[in-house]
Amino acid sequence: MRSTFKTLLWLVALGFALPAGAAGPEEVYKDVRGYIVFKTNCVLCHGIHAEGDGRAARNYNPRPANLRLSDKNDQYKELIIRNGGAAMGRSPFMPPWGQELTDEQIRDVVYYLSVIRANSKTAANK
Amino acid sequence: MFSRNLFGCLLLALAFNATAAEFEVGQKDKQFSMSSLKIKAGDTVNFVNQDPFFHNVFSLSDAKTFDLGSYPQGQGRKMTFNEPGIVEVECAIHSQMKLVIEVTK
Repeated sequence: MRSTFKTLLWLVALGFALPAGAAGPEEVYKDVRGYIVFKTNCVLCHGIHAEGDGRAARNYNPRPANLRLSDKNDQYKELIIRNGGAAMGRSPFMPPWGQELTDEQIRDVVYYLSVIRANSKTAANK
Repeated sequence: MFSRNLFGCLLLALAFNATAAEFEVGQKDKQFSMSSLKIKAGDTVNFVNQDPFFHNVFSLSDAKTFDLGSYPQGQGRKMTFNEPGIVEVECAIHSQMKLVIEVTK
């Protein structure tokens, strides 16, 4: 329990976003798992803060999406992550991750994106 | 005069093409088939996906910045390297995949 708390403190210090409002342990675990999937696979293009400014972003036109401002719902995000940008009529440079990530990892990263999106909205409204 | 110059240009272009080579690099078991490759400026590398899942090829090196997108098993993508330098090639889907291409004059 103590080590879990310590891990969470470290993640917060590293920029990890906790869900706003009351979140149960399962939501927090899902959020942490999604954060790890994002940091491992997505930061190259979408950037460490998911603002579409990763180190490879300069290569692409259109630029990778700013996921903090995305107006797409979770189902859409799940589809584009699984099938890639070309299959969705978006950037062909967004790879299809369906063969690389498990269903759980895809759901977790979509959840993480919904958390950072909600937190960004809350911060903008303050 | 014009036709002589044109003929000269054609000969030069033919000579250039005659010396340019094409190399093949496989993508198998989430690795490039080699970790380094030495080529000459003007040579082309064909990256062929031999795995039953998607691969990608990109580089952010100063000598050559490119992204050939993602493609399935059996397909390949070609890139010609015209400038000398060191090009670090990666796969956006499998971050452990690394290849260093040394392009010489």
